[in-house]
Amino acid sequence: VIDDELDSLRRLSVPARPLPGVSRRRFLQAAGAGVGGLALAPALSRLQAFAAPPIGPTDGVLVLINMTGGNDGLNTLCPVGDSRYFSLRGPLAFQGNQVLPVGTGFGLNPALPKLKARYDQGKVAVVRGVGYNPPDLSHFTSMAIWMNGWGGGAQSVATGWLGRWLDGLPNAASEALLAVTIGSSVPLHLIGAQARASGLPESLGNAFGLDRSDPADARMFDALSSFASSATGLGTWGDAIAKADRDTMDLSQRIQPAYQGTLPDSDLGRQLVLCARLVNANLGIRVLNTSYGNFDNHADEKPTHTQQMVELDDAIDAFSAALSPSYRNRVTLMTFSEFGRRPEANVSAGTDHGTASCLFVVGDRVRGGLYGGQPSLTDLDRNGNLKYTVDFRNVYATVLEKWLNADATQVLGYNFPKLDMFTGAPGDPVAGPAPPPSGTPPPPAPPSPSAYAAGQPSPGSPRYVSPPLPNKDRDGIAPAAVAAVGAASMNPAPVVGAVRNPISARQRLANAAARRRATPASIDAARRAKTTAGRTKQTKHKHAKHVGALHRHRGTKIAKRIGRSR
Amino acid sequence: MSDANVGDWEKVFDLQKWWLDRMRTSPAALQEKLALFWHGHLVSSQEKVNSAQLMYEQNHLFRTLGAGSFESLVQAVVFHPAMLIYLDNDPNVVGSPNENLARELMELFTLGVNQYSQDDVVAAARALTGHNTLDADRTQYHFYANRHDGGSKLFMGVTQNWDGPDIVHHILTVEPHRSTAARFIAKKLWSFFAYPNPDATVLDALTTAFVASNLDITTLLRTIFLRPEFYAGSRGALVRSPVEYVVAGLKAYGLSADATNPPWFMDTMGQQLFYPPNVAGWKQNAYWISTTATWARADFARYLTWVQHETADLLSEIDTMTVAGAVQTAFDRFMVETPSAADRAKLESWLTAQRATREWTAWGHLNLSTLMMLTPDFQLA
Repeated sequence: VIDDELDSLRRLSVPARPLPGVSRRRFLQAAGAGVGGLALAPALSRLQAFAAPPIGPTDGVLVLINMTGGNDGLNTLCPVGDSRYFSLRGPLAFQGNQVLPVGTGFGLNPALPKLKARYDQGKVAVVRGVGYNPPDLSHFTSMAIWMNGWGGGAQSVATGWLGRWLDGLPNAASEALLAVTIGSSVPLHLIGAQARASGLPESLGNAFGLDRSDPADARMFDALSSFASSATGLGTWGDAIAKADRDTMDLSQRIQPAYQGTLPDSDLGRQLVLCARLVNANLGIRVLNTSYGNFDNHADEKPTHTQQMVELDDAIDAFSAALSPSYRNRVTLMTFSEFGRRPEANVSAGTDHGTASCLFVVGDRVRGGLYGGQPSLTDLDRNGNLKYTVDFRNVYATVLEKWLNADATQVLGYNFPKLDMFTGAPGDPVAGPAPPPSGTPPPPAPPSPSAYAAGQPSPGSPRYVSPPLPNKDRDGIAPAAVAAVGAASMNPAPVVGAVRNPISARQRLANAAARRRATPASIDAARRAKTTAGRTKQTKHKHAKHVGALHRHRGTKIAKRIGRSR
Repeated sequence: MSDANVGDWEKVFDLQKWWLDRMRTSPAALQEKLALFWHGHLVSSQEKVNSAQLMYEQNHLFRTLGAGSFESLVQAVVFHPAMLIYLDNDPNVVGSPNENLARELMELFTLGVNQYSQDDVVAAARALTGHNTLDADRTQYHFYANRHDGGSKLFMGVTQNWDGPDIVHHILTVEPHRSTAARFIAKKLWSFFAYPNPDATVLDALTTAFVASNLDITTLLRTIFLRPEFYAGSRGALVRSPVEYVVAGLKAYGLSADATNPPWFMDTMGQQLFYPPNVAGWKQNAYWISTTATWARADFARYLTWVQHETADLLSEIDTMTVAGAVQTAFDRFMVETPSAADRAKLESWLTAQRATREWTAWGHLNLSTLMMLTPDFQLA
């Protein structure tokens, strides 16, 4: 019996990093050098002990948007020059005069005007036909393949592609803030053998651990941290919980500045603006991950997808606005999704699981334009799906080598072709306004399938092979280097729909309602309809001291009333 | 507000609190725990179903059928409007089948991934056509014969005029599919109650018993609970899910969900009843541990402490006890039977330091209550 369903799920996340290995010992040694300081300000001492190196002047930062559930590439970059698009999609298709033209025969979804403006400035690369072979139509397996990103053929690994890159950085094991993900659990692509991203919430409010002005509170926070100062004797999970307790207290001091000020209402907007502020805070974070969805639009796709495109467009714009100018030439943003949708619409006015899709790479150093060949709408596979033209790992290889200054072959296990997608290295001055992209694409990606001719390890190995896991010890988090792998083996993750920390039920419903209201003809209306419910989330984090408890009840009622009068 | 959804949102909010309180107070705790398991296995979400009534009905199926025949449970849940809407079988009609329900029925509900082909998915989708909700009332199931694909289909190597329920019946009664499903379910149920990744010996025994009973869930449960490994291997093996954490906290404090609105915190903890994150449901252990979730647990713990402070003022008597006595009393109150010696020592050390200050005496028992809910001991199942 093959149990890879659970195995592939297990790969998708592990707990947010059990804290920095700047070990307790090292911390105590440092503290021992200045006993008085420790006694007076333990939190400050810890801060210094854990301080990350700032982002260097030539360090690239990568921001990811995981569009979970399978984004419809054909309605994101619409091939309006191909009559088959209209016959396959019927009413789901956008007309040539509706889309925002980018090159001959192609147009962006009408809900992406800001992205289109950025494209016209030469700052958006659209990679077409991104996928792998053979395609897998399971959300979970396909997402695992994307997050894993290993191209080394039979010899498989259990880590994620960026996790492996992080492992190569000097302080991978000790630094909690090399990579962050917004949400409750850490996705596979941010897990290495040593390195693991930290999870940050969408808002902090007056969260536990933040306000140390009351000595009794500060003492309680430190007591909470102390559970991790030695083994609990409760086993690996007990120790992992103790570490999460300590991490939370430590991180609450470090990240606080990023949460000052209001955030956008939309889910993705909040996440991306938060990311921009975390970059601005110069905490040394190199990778920031966001996710939103659900793009699994099997039915009634157009209004929902339109709303999702509006949210994407607004959020990228808000991100750019929030990012400090001094980081703009060091930050690149990239979208991805586990697969696209089937070219032919189903009768539910939706689309079933597909294969290849398009993705966006956005930034000041990005060479704008269309990349990769558009998959044919006539030469489909046996399931009626697109045949990919660019292996997704070509994109990874490009980002790793040209943006993150990594040895892509080492990280991906294979020397994937790169796209000429950046105008320079991170930190290079942007030389005047980039030329507007012509309709003709810049050098397209080498056709992937032929690149992996006989004798080469096939990047698309027949099935995603589950490697033997080093830690079979009942899901335990092993203490040492294998910890991440071992934990990954047992820990499934939420992938489709809500990888991110779930938003409030209220906001979800409001979003759903807003989507229903949105029609392609009223994108502005959809924009306006965006929920205000996000604001009510703030009330959740109010400090519940003394009378605070009563306020909480009242806050709940107020939130309901806001919903009613909306 | 004219949007009818808000009304349903309020109903679901009440439903969440009702279920939490039922878990907290029901004398049949196993029945509720099983219902929670099925909610995370045969998944539908209010996010898409958008009907408190349907979500309640589905919950009722989990509660009433959750310990009987697995096939009866699957047949009932799969053809209930909540599932038909959630997995898009509502509009699944002849000529243009929608594959969503067909795929997940096999991948996630019964067989596991790769135990079927894409052709089987297509055939099952065709078999499921016509099993829709009533056009005039989406809360009612209706079979539209004229929307059903009555043609012959090749499913799992057998060509015949398959209908939706036949598909479920076939994979849960005919070998090798039945054994595949039995093993898949046995592993997941064991992982939920005992610990993840049981070894082959355990799994073989569970599968054999489950198959021999024609997939009777009570038989499987009995087999699980009588295995020595269930007792020997369970300690510290499971992290409390947010639902389990909240219910345990409410029990310890003697507070109701109705009075404390835990769903506001549970979003950030990572689990919201009636809103599973996706069709694969919730995962376990590491899935629940993160700094983000810890903030939510800590905020909830502090909140409960202050709510109860205004009423019963739990543990106030410990302020006059010895430090050791106070900490032991708190462990007892929070039902931590065999606490970690290390954690006990740290709590005692903290309480000693707290008492040495001239601060408000009540900080001792209040912050001890909050800390107790955040100990690794209490956060483990």
